[in-house]
Amino acid sequence: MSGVRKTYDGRRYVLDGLDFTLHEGQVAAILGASGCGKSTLLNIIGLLDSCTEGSYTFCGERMLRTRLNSYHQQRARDIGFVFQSYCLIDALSVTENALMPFLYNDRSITREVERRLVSVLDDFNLTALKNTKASLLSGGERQRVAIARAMIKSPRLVIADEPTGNLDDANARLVVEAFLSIARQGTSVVVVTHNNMLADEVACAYRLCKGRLEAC
Amino acid sequence: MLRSARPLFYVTHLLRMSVANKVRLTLVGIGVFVAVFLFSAGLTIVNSYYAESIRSVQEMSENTAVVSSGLDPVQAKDMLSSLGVGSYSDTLLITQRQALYSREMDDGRWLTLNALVFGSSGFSKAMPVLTDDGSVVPVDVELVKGRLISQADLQSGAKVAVIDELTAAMLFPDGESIGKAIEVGVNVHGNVFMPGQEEIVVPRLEVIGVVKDSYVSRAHRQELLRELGSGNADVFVSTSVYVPLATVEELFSDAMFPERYLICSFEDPAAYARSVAQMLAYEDIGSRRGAHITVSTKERLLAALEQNLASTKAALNIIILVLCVISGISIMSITFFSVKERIPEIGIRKAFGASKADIAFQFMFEMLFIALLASVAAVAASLLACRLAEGYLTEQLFFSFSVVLSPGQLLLPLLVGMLEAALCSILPSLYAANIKVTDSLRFE
Repeated sequence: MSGVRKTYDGRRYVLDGLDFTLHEGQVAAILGASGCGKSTLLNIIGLLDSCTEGSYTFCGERMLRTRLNSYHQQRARDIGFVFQSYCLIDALSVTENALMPFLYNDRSITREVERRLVSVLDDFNLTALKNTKASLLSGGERQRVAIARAMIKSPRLVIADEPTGNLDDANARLVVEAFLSIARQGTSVVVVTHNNMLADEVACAYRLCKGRLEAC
Repeated sequence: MLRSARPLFYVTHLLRMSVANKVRLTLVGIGVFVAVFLFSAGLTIVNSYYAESIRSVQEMSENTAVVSSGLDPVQAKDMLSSLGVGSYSDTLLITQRQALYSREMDDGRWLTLNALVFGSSGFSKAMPVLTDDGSVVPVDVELVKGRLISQADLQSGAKVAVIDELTAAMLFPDGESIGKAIEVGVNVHGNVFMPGQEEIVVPRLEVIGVVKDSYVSRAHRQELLRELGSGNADVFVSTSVYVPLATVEELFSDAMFPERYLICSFEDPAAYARSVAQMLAYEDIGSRRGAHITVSTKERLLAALEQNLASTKAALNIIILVLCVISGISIMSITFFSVKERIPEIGIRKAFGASKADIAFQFMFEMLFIALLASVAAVAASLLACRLAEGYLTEQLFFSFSVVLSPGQLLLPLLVGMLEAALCSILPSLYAANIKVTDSLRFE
């Protein structure tokens, strides 16, 4: 990202000349005060929103503001999301929620995907809950399902907004380990967090201030 | 076993989401069910009602026409002669049904066989039948046993009768009817006079022949079986008896409002067409001059029935359209509410790669699936209701009624239900598709 600026009302710039580079397999933590623009930055990185000015290149391809509506296939293929409010579908089970990313890309549920699902659920201690409806899960369990969902298709980029917000230390540790593990396999991770443990574990930590990123 | 191809996984997911919200499933289902149920029931009743009439007319003999008029017999015959109609039979119908037979059944109810008496001057080709909607229709004669009324019987005014198979089965269950006598005009309790009154002499006619049941008689037989099996009050069944014209004029001279018909039969279709055209022209002129005649042909009766059927269906369609609009508005409201409730879900789906078309398709698919379930249930329920109401409708409509099914009758209500759901879900689906993903993910 180079010279990225974002405004919603044409007057106040939430992001103001932001530069950011994330390499393959890198984990970056972004810290900052509430309302400083962290979610806005994540939305732009995740191709959910476009910047007002500046340039954004994702996996070698320049992302254009005018083609924002066509990037759904790219998201389906290459990006996993973990949102602050989990965003699970209550009517579906843990397994069905975890497999949601496969609805909108052209991959079938193969034996490899099944194995990956078993592994991911096991990593997050969700195996016993695999057939439980999401509406019956605790906040921490929902968080872990959301993370499992983001990781299951081995995307090129995972974007996480406060992924350890509702987790105890042990489970937060699991999440950190999971991010580091997928990073070792080539997936890049961008995490917005207030968790110092996570910020300390990653190679790159930044603080978003006055619309720009400063290395911590 | 989760392994599956993406399309199957996707469709399974959509079906799951369609029924996930029980409140929406119930409310939308009820809306579609009511509209489709009423449409299907109405369509079934209308089609069945007219199917009975159409079938009885289709049995009418080819190249025959029935002329009824207020003219006296001589004038009527002169009129036909002037039109070049050579072959016809003079038929007198005693409109007041005459009791033939009555007995008390084991359950205390009374079973009574009533007959319409037809007197005719000729029975060689066609015999008249009165349909349930009041049309006299000549049908081909099919002799089962015995003989038909001969010229000698006609000239001498013999006291003979030809009955149909239904009458023979009811009066002579042992099968031997030829040579037996029937009494026409026995009252419902089987007595020929009431105590204290003068003895009434009822006409006795010798059975000389049995003819095959017409469609009307077959329908009455079915109706009889239904009546016997039901708990309804006293059972009445209608049939027809055919006697020489002179015999009817003699024995039933004091009958109330007899109706006279001239049944014109033609061997040559071209001659039939010519004569019918002339008769229709005479009918038109006669109506303006006060000499009313009515000409009934198979084509005319069928055309009238088709026109009535079309009019009735048009009225039914208008009623259903109004119903669909009313229920459609509620369906649209419920769908909009569902979209609002699922805004965060829409956001996450878009985040994971759903396009606008995917979102719109999902909401429309869910509504169509619910409509399909409700429509199938409604069609099945309406057919069951019509079957159960057959007996009641037969009493109310005063003629035999049985449910007639056709593929179109089953498919059309289904299509109407799904079309209603499709149209009412377009706007909410487009609204859902156009929700901004960043706004939806912030939605609480």
